Amino acid sequence: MKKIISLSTIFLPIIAIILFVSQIVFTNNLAQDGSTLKEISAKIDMLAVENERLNQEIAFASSIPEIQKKALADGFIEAKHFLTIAQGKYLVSLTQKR
Amino acid sequence: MSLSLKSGKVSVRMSRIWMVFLFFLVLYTAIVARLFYWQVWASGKLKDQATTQHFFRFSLPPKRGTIFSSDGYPLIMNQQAYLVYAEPKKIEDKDGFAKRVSDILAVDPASISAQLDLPDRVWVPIQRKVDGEKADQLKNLKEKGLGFESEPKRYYPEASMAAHMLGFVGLDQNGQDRGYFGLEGFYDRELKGKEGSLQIEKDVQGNPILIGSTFRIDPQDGRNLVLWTDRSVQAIVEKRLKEGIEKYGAKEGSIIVMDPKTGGILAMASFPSYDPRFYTDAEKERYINPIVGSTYEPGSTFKVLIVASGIENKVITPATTMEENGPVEVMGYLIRTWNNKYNGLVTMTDVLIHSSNVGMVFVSNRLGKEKIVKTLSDFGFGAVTNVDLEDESAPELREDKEWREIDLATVSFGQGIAVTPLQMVRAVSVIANGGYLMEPKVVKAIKDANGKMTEVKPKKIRQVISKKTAEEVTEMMVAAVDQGEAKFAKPPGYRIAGKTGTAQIAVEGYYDEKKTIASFVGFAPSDNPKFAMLVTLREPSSSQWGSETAAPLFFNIAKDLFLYYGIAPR
Repeated sequence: MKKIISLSTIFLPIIAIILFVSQIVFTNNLAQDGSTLKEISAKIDMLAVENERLNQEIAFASSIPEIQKKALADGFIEAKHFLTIAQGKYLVSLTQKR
Repeated sequence: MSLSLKSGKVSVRMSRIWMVFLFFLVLYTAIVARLFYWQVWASGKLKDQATTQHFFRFSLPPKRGTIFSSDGYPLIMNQQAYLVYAEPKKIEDKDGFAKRVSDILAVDPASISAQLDLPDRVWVPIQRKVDGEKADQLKNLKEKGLGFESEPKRYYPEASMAAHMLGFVGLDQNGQDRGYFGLEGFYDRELKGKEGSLQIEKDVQGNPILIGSTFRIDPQDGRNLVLWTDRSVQAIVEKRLKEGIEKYGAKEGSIIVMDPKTGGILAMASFPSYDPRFYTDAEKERYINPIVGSTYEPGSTFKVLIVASGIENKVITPATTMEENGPVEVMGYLIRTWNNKYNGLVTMTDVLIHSSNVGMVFVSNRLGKEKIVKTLSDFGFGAVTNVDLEDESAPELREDKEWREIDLATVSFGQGIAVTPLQMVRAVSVIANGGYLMEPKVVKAIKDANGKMTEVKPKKIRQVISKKTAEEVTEMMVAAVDQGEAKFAKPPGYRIAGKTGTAQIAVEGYYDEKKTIASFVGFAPSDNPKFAMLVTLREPSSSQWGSETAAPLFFNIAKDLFLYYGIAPR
């Protein structure tokens, strides 16, 4: 009986300490995971906003008014006349024998 | 004596017992009733109160869908914007705050000051949908009590292109985004998506419990729309229409380009228009798309439909002849040709070439009332086309009994009947499409947030005329272009089927000879039509005739479209 009591006086505090430490570790991990999760979701949100901004910039850069403006600035002018090669008619050089 | 005393005591005791019993019964019933009230009757309310005390609830707004042109370019998309607000209790110098903020937002500082000075206000919205650039400037002020909350805003990469067709997003009575007019209005439910929510458990002090229960319902983003409308075709049409209105001095103008085989709207433009980015600056009448929401008298462009009906009903053929020797009298009214010249013996093709009103009265007489009225409804007049745009209206046709002889005569050359430009181009597309009437559609496909595409299939309504009739009328329309008044403007080498129209405008019950709506309707290439198009110009001042205004504009656009689609001349 005495032996049992002395064993329990040794082991019970050890178990209590192990449980206490593991609780601290577990809580700490949980808090860290939460913090990492928060960082990741904040990054996802930031990237989503950045993607939206980039899409908007692409749409703006490829819009007709913008292309027109850049073309005019680069010296392009609107074509007034077009040469259309109708079906069955080819350029002379293509029909000549070599 | 003692017996009666004894029995009296017993009855008093019994009545006391009954009273106590009744008292407890009433008490018990009251408790049961009260419990019933709390547990059954008021349980919902109590549950809600408990939930409010235990949980935070945030709404997660969905993203509104993007609208793409058929060639894959976004016509409307979202951009990041901000709700700028103030917290008056944190602001020390309210007037200075109002001045600095109003300088950037271009609003009246007095209106901000007035809101800040209102008693017991802890939160004051200053401006919604502020773009990123302005928000950055405001953030740089580092004002105490100035806050920002992100919210999406519509962005238009092509500026005001296709404004009437697209519509705009405004706020409803609850301050929520809502689409108005055009596609934004018609497809509001599909575009706006479904709001989500996030519920987090909180402690007694109102702080969130990290390992507490969390309920999240993800928002469902709005669906994206893919249109039949081609961005380049739309740009060509808008550019040419602006030039045309200026060149011919017209008050207004509209152009609609349709794929006659599917009913898909390739382009749709009307001027004057408005800029959806600044819709509040425009007059409210500008919001309505005239192509689907306004009516006009089609004039001579309508002749092709009556001639098609005449051939279909076998009362005429393209070679049928008639004597055109002078004006024709109907119910006391004299009906003349547009130039008051008469060509003697003419065929029905000549009637279209010379756009003869007298010739059309001949066709009308042969058709008779029943067939004409049936023709009108068969071609889709008097009913909505069911186009997927919010602002469509359909002028009603006369009641059957109300058609007089003069009405039947005038309707044969497109006067005395009101139609929308969309109804008109769809009706002429019947001829281009082998006789089938199609349901016009702006949206080609709907794409959900997971990328699943649902195609909107072209819908045939009915066969109005036979393929043979359609081919015969097409040849007559080609002749009308090649030999008619507008032949000078036609691009050489192409076969274009078309018809000019000049309709007088009714003012206070009378037609004003000087005020006209000049129009041209047609399709090309006539053998295998790629597009059907209607051009209308209201009150052109350089010339009142469609052949000198709307027709050259039609041919200019047709030239651009031939080049764009790679259609070579013969």
